[in-house]
Amino acid sequence: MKYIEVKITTTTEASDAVYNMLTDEGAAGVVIEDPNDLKAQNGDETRWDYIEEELIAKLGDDVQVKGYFSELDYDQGILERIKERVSQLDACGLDKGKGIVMASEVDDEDWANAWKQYYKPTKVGEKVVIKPTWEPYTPEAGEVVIELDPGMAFGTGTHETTSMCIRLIEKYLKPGSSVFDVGCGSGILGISAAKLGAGRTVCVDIDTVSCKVSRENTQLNQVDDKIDIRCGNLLDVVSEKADLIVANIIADVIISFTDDVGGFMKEASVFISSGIIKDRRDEVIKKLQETGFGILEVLEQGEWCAVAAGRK
Amino acid sequence: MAKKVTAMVKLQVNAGKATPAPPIGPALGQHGVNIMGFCKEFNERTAKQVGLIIPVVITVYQDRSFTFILKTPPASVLIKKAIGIESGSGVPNKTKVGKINKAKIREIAELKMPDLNAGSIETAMSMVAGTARSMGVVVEE
Repeated sequence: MKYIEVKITTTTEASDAVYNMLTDEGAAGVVIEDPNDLKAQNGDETRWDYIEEELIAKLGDDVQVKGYFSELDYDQGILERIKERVSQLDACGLDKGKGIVMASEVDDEDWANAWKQYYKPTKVGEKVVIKPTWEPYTPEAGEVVIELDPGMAFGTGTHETTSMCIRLIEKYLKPGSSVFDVGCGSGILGISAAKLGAGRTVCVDIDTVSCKVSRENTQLNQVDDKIDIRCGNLLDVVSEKADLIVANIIADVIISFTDDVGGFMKEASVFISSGIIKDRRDEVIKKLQETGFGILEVLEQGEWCAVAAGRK
Repeated sequence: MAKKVTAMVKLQVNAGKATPAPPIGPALGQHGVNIMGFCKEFNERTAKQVGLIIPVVITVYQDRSFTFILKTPPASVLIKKAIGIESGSGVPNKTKVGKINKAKIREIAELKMPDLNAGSIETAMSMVAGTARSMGVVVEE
């Protein structure tokens, strides 16, 4: 079955009114793409999201409201009535903006599965291969396969920050080492460490969804007996020390975490920090050096970098 | 983790009834988001609100993982509820379907305020009032 998409280019203030027009005409659901949502969130310092100015600029100022009708329910009258009502928005006291109304056909796709095309088994380190659960894969000798589907927690293995961490874990992890994965997201780093031979591994995240997803992923990879998942701030939920600590977060969080991380390290422990955008690289390195770390190695990939550091 | 945002999409869908069909399929499919994963989680979180339209804002990250937050119902839905009507007018400039007073407009604006990106309560109220007029609801001064 084909669908007809009716798209209205308008403003934030008129978007609820336009939404109502679409549902009055029988649209099953509505999509609103409002660049102001992103702009508002960008100012919210409680979130760790990194939003590039370029993305915001690319989105422009227009709000797009899209309603979908199955071709069986659609007739030309719908478009005409919506056009008429959009043209009256200004009279209602709402800025209609460009007020452009357009209809186009959307081919029916297998939406439930189409997104999977973006995600294939990927070798992210010397040994570690990340494999979506639905893809067959025969590992070569020495490869470690991690099963993971993208979902509601960061860390699908396809991001540079994640793959650099995995490469550093492969290099600095000694058999039986204890590991902390701080800000574990999907749990991918802790799972990689466990599969590469780590001893006791603790994954920590302040986000409860991430903890739930991590737990599922440790079970999927049959390492749930080796990994302890704790929800909360590292400082509150962990009192032990580890041989290897990995934190793939963002530069600001790494910088503030650097003050405390030493307390969780032994003399020969290694601290891997990632999620650092290149512009902040020197700042993070300086802070590490000031807080008693020696830099072992810095990796760069794309616009990101990762740092391995040890106690001086 | 270093969550670089690639897209943010707002959907208005029925609580507990998300499916991969439009609007969700085309809205999220283009960003490579695990659609069934989203539907399952959304339906779970909204299971108790079946029958209501719940706006949901989905943030998509560079590695195609995502997160979402639920918002307050659309102003039009709150207006209908406040004055007890089933639907708005198809020809709002001619046929009026009800009246709403300033106090109710303020009440709705206050409820919606956190989600409107509006600078002041007055801006939010004028938006709610405008939405009411666009539905054929007369705003009483």
